[in-house]
Order: sequence, then C-alpha cells, then structure tokens
Amino acid sequence: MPALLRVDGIEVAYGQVPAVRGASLEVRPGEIVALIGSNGAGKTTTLRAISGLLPIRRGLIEFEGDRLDGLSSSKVVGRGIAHVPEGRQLFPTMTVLENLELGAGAAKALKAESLEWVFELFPRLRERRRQLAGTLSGGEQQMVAIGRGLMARPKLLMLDEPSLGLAPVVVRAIFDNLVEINRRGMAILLVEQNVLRALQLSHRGYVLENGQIVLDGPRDTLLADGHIKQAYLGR
Amino acid sequence: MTLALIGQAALNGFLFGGVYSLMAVGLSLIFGVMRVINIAHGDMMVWGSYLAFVLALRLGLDPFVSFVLCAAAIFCMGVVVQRALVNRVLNAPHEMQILLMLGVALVLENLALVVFGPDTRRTESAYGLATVWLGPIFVDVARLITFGLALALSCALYLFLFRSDLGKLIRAAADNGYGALVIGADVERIYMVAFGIGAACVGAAGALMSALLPFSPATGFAQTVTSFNIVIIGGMGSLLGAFLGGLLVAVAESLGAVLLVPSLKELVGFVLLVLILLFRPQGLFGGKTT
Repeated sequence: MPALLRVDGIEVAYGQVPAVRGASLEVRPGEIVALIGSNGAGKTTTLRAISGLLPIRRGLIEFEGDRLDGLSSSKVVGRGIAHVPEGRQLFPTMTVLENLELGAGAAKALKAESLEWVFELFPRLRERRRQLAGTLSGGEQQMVAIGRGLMARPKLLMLDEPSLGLAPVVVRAIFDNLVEINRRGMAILLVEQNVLRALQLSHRGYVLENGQIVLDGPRDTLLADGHIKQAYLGR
Repeated sequence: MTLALIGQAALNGFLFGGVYSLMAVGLSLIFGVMRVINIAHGDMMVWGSYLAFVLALRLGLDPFVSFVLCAAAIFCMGVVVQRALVNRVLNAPHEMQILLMLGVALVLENLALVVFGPDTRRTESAYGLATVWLGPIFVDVARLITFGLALALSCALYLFLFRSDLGKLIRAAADNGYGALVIGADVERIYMVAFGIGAACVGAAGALMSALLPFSPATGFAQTVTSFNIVIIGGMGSLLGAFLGGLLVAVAESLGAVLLVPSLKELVGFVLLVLILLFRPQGLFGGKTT
C-alpha cells in the first residue's frame, strides 16, 4: 500500500544545533504509528517539521504523493494533517465550543457534523461546551485538543504526548478514544514517552534516538526487542 | 465650589472618556494580540485628527461623519506599518520593538509637522457649541455625540471579536499564538488585521477628539502616554478594562482640573496609575498573567 505520509531523511535544526538528523518514517492509510523515544530525541521536532512549523534543512516530506515541506502550517492543515501539540495549546479564555469550532478551519462546511462526532466521542465536552477551556481538568483539556484537531477532518492525526501529566485512568480513556478514531479510518501518528501503552495500541512503531531512527517494525517485534525492553520498558 | 460644578465636571469627563476608551481599546488590542507596544499610537491619533480637520476644511465634512473615513485611512496606515515593519520584529526582544515603534512615532510626528505645520488646530463641527440644559448642569452636545459614537464603535468591535470568524481567530491568536499556528490559522493575516483595527480605533478617536480639543503634531506623544496609562489601569490585554479605564481616567482628570488646578489634571491620572501599580498591579480587569 502506498504511504499516506512519507518522511525521508529530514534534517531539522534550531539555529546551528541539529535536533533531527536524517530521520525517515512512513504512515500508511488507516494505521496507528507510534514514534517513541526519550526526552530530547527529536520527536516533537519531527512533528513540527511535518506540520510546517519548522523548516527542514535536508530531505523531503510527502503527503499523498505531494511535497509537503516548504508549505505553511495553514496549507499543511488544509492538505489533511491535524496536529495536537504538546501541552495542548488551547485558547484558555475561549469556550470549549469556540475552541472546537476554531479547529474546523478549511472544513467549515462540515462543522456541524464534525462537532456532533466530537461530542459523541467525548460526551463530557458536550456538557462543558459553554465553559472556558482554561477552567477544565487536564484530561478534559486533552479531549478538547484532540477534538479541535478532529474538527479539521484530517486524514492524518498527529498527537504529541497526549498522556503527559494525566492520571493513568484518564490516559486509558484517551487511548481508547484514539483506537475508536482510528476505527473510523483515520491514520494516527502518535508521539509518546509512555512507550508500552503507545506500542500496545499501534500497528507499527519507530524509535528515535539523538535525532535518528534507530529501530522500527511492527508492534510485536518492537515489544519483544531487547533494546526497547531494556531502554524503555525497564525490564 | 458647588455640587453642581463637580457634577458638571464629572459629566464632562465621562462623556469625553469615550474617546479615551476608544484609543485605549486600540492599544490594548494591538498589545493583546502581538505583544507589541504601539508607541506610535498617539501619533496615529494625531493623523486621524488632521484628516478630520482637512476633510472639514476642504469638503465641509463634519468630524462626526468623517470619522469613518479617518478610521479607514488610519486602518490602512496600521496595516502598512504592521506589514512593513512590525512583522519583522515580532519575535525580537522588547527593546528592539520599542526602538522601532519609537522610530515610527518620530517619523509620523515629524511628517505631520512638515505637512500640516506646528500650529494648533481644532476641527469645526456644527455641534461644537450646542448645549442642552439638564437642571443645574448642561450637556455639551458635541461630547454627547462623541461618547455615543465611541460607545457604538466599541460595541461593534466587541461584536466583531466575539461573533465573527475572523474576530474569534484574533482572540485565539491573542490567547495563544502558537495554538493559532498549530490549527492552521493564517497568523500573519490575523496580525495585520488586528493592527489595522487597533489603528482604526485610535484614528476614529483622533477624528472625534479633534472637535473637542485643540491638537498639534506634538500632542501625539502625550496621547500615547495617556493611552498607556489607561491600559495599565484597566489591565493589559483586557478590552473591557481599557474601555472602563478610559472613562475612569477621563472623569478623574476632569475632576482634578476642577478640584485642584486645571494644569494639574494629568497628575490625577498618573496618581491613579501609581495607586493601581501599588495595590493592583495586574490592573482593574487584568486577571491573566502573561
């Protein structure tokens, strides 16, 4: 199957300091792909480069066969990639409903339908739609962040550490939601430090270390891998 | 010193406060969205005043009509300044932004000197001398109209920001600029429009004020300082705070002129500022820490 997203040998730097050094990865339609690695490995940088928030110095990024690198972030969203960023980055003094609606962007025609879907997925948000986003709990804020991404009706949803700072029971619920979203046919690229959980729900995974992909493969291969067990799963 | 006199001063100040509110709302909007302090704010205002003056002189347009054109013109000025200059320093340290805006202020002020000369002007309005008596105090019709228009413009801005898609995007960018980028908002366009609207507010305020107070190119800096004062008192980034702060400062100045010495009226505004900084440094309506 041809890849939905193809990242080929990208190099990304902050000033002179390289953060990603020749990373390559692929996401195929309908897949959940985990991108794992420790703090500072370059995971967030990779997502930001795909989103058009950071320029790449080398390599290329393709989405549905078209070049993506060099496009602005608004164009990338328009092509069908939604980014749920680290730290959620909501609009705290705006209501939940406003936050969600702002995510619709280019998919405005489908706004009502998308909103209904998001509320179906996260019934809690329907109850709280008139509340200011800044007053929600961490888990609810993460739901808003994911919902805001879904409102753009993307073909690929990229999530950056959705489990960060959340209680285990909330993390489980959020990850169940991701599986549910994927069942609807949406591809997911999941960046996580919660390696075990992330791998368990993914089809395939990539391990990023010092800005390079050091390992990749199907879930079961990675879960059984000695390096991963030792470095990330603590066994 | 009678009660009527104090009441008169309070009313005059309150009605005049509409233009203060409008200029402070403009400054607050620009700061809230871009975190850039528009030091050229008062000078943009003076240009609005001069435009109203010229339109009255050449075309006989009343400033209470021509303020729309003045606002549109200063909107364009704001867009050009944002696109050409401010955009380049958005991520630069504050001192660089301040130097740039100080430069813009100097250029605008001296350009006004070259074009209009140093003389003090005042725009003629058909309502300039009309008054209505309400018992022991009178209502200056020009101030009443000014207040009504300033209030209407502020309400229109509020509706735009809270009801329209573009307005919501402007609020979103003010709330979290990175978040706005992530959802694919065209942040450059948002910044351009926000700066233009902030400038249009102060352009309209300048046109309206030109019928109430004499002005010259040198007035700009004083108005910039007054705008800062109001925005800090109201709370940085809070539009409601800027609006109410404008009324508060105008009433305080007007009362100060009557109760103390007229030339000390600015002092009252600054005393208010010092008190706010001492006891409520986030301003009257500024809850958010940035």
